[in-house]
Amino acid sequence: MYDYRFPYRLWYGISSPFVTVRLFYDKTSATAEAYADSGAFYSIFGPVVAASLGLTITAGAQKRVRLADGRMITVYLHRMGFRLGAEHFTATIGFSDELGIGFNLLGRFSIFDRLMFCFNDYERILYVSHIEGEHEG
Amino acid sequence: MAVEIKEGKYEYDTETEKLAPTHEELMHWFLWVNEHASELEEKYPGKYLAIWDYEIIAVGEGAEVYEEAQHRRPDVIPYIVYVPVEEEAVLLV
Repeated sequence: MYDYRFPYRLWYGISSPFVTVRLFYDKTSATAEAYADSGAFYSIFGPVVAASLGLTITAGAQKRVRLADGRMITVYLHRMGFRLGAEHFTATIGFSDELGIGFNLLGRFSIFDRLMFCFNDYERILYVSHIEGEHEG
Repeated sequence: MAVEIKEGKYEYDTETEKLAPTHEELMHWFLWVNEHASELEEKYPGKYLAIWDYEIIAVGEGAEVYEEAQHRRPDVIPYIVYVPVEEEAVLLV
């Protein structure tokens, strides 16, 4: 069984797994969507979401990460509230203005240990489920 | 964060005094974007859209979309969607 069901987003005839999320930071919040990327370690959100949250991107912990296309970019990690459906917890979310695409990416770190993602490309549906267990803050 | 549910569709955040869609309502908006994807690809490639209640309340190429949305609807937290250019969609394969 699953808790949430996201039909794949279809852009230009290509179906891709997106989820809607809400981020909470310093008494404000932003509602956005992110490409669920099981191949990415960090989640990386862009400047538009950062601006919505009133977040200074560079105030976070700096990390250099390599993208699938070989480029190295700087990502700044921030701890903040993360919500998908009724699942609400504190997560580490990366922000960068160097990603080079307009999408936000939802990576594994601090997310995939709380939520289980099932990519059903046959049905073109992303299923998301709560993972039972004791989690670190 | 303290919230109250309004009309079953929105959450009212008592700290920010803004409305945001409930998850169920947000899913309806998400599906609405899916249904209108072709139209949005034609009109807004490479643009960010701020959506509230099935209406595009602001369009922009960056963070200004949020400022414009706040100017139009300072009482809400809009749903921000990015419409890719075709090359970006291919990158997602």
